[in-house]
Amino acid sequence: MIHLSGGLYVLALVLYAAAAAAYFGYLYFRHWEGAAAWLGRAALVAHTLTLGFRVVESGRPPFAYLFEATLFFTWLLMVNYTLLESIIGLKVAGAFVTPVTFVLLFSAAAMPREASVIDPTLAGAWVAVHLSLSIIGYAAFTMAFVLSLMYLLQEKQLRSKAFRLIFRRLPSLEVLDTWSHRLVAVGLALLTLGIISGSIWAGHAWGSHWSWDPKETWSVITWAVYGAYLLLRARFGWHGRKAAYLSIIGYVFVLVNFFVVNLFLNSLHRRL
Amino acid sequence: MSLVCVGVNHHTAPVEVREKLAFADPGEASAALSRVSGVAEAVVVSTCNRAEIYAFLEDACLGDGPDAQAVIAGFVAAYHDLPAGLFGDYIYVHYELEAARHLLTVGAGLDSMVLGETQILGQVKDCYLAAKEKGATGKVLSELFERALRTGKRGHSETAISQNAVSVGYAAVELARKVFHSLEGRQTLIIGAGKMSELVAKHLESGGLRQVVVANRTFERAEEMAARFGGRPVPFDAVTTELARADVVISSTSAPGFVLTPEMIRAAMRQRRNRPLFLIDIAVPRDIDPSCGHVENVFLYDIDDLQAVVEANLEDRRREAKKVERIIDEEVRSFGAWLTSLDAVPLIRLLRAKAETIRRAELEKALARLPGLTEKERGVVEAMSSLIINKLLNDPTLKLKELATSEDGRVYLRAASELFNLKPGEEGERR
Repeated sequence: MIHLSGGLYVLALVLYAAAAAAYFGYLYFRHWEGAAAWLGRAALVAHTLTLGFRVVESGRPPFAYLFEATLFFTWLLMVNYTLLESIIGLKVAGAFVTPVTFVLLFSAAAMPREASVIDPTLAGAWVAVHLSLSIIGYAAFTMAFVLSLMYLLQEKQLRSKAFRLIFRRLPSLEVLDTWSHRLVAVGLALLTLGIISGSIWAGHAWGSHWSWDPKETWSVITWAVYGAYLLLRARFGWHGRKAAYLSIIGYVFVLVNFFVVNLFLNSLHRRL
Repeated sequence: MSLVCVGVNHHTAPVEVREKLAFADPGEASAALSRVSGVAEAVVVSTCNRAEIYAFLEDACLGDGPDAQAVIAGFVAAYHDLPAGLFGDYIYVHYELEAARHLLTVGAGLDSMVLGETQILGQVKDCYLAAKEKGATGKVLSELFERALRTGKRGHSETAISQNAVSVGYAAVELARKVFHSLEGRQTLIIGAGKMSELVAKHLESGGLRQVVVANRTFERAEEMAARFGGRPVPFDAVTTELARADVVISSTSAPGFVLTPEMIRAAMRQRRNRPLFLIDIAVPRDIDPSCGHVENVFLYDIDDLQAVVEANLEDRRREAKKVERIIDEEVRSFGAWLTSLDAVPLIRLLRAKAETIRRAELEKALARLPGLTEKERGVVEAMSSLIINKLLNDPTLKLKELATSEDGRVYLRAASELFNLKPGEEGERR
């Protein structure tokens, strides 16, 4: 089973690389659209199977190690993207999402796969809820980040009046702005629930609801940045470019929170 | 030479000539031409930019180009009641596959005034269907026109020849659509009720834009234009307040200075809580201070910007035209092969007839020298002669049918007719 999921993992990586190339080609050649979408779906299937085998194999939710968590996180991202593509027909976002997925998934190979001992506190329903909510929230933030990048790119084209091919492929500013807003709102709601559920569980497991562990601190900072996004947008008309910059800054905190804190800082969450 | 195209278009003839040669009822004209002696099939294609006649001629006109042209030209002169030969300088004539290529090029929009436009394909289709309904078309022109329609569709779907705006008004719509997801329900403010702003507004309206507000120094003209769009006229001073509500602004006044300043725009943006504002300045001298375009969420385009978009799009279309030409090449080759394959059948018939004639003659001679044969023996000899020619001609028959549809089909047919000394023209029955 381990060999099987390992092989599938490599297959998923190869398919994502091919899909990323095809989506990129689609920016320039319209008829690459079919190949790109097909490769993207195939990669997602391989990805789903990889994740499925790991879950069956270990008999627990896929986030005991950072490798699994990344596998799960990128999977959610692709599911998120695939849904969004069918809702707003945003094929061109694939040129941004698939490379991000590929890079994250590829770097997962270097992450801890097995721990010598599984921390007994990492078992139980609360922790599963806590981790799922947080990771789904991160996936929503990633998608918002991608749409914000696309927004800035499209806005730059509209302002410079130098329209390149990508201008025609990219959707309107309104679509990009509206959807990154929605995704930030969803992501923030999930992050809030993730923090609350984590705090409840910490109260049971560690005896204290909050201990300013680095992960907790970074989560609060991330929460504050996205909270500011929603607030400034609602109260001070921060649409468009300013909002896109905020969403990108917020995502930097997400990345630090997800990777740097877990890998390098001494944290109770270290073993995540 | 039996497929011919004779016509005039906007490249070869001025409008005074084209209007004289235009056919009000192409279907009826097609039918009239198909009744002319020597003409087997006919389709007349007539639009405001071209009048073209496609005809498939019978053997009487075969071989000599000028004859075919004379038949058509004579018909055109008679139909329009004009002296013959009057428009010789304006007319172009194409034969056989060049005629086919011309139709495919026209249908794909490559011969149109606006490169790659799509209306022509519908017009070609209408003319063809009208001719078909009147019974003017047959096997060959039906095949040719079906292929032209298919080629046109392939051009539109497989290349970007018909994409992207090639008029200033449509370029404005295209840009607006990259700011707003949909133009539906958006408010437009027109400053200066001129011809140009009306043109752009019309494009935006067909793009879904509603709720037009017109501001003009002369209020009556604002009223007139607002009435045409079902909109609302406002006095010129109201521009400042209307800016807060509008999503798209079209400005084309004859004012010497700027009508909209960055201060006005900034004030409006505060009121509209930073919602995007799309400004089109088609006035010369310009109405909108260019620094308005630097305000956040404000997108400003002047007439030069729009024209640059159009020019860039035309350049794209010229590039795409090369791809369409490759599709046309492919379809013309395939049509040529089909056309040639039609010649295989009569040739095979000739070959078989010739063999049969020889067989009968030789059989008679042989039987004359063998008087003592019984009925059964005569039967055996006769059957043997039939079997020999059938078996011998079996392969050439199959091969000719097959090779006729190949690239060099005509060469094979010619070789066969030379080798067996067959003269298709004399048979009096071709295709």
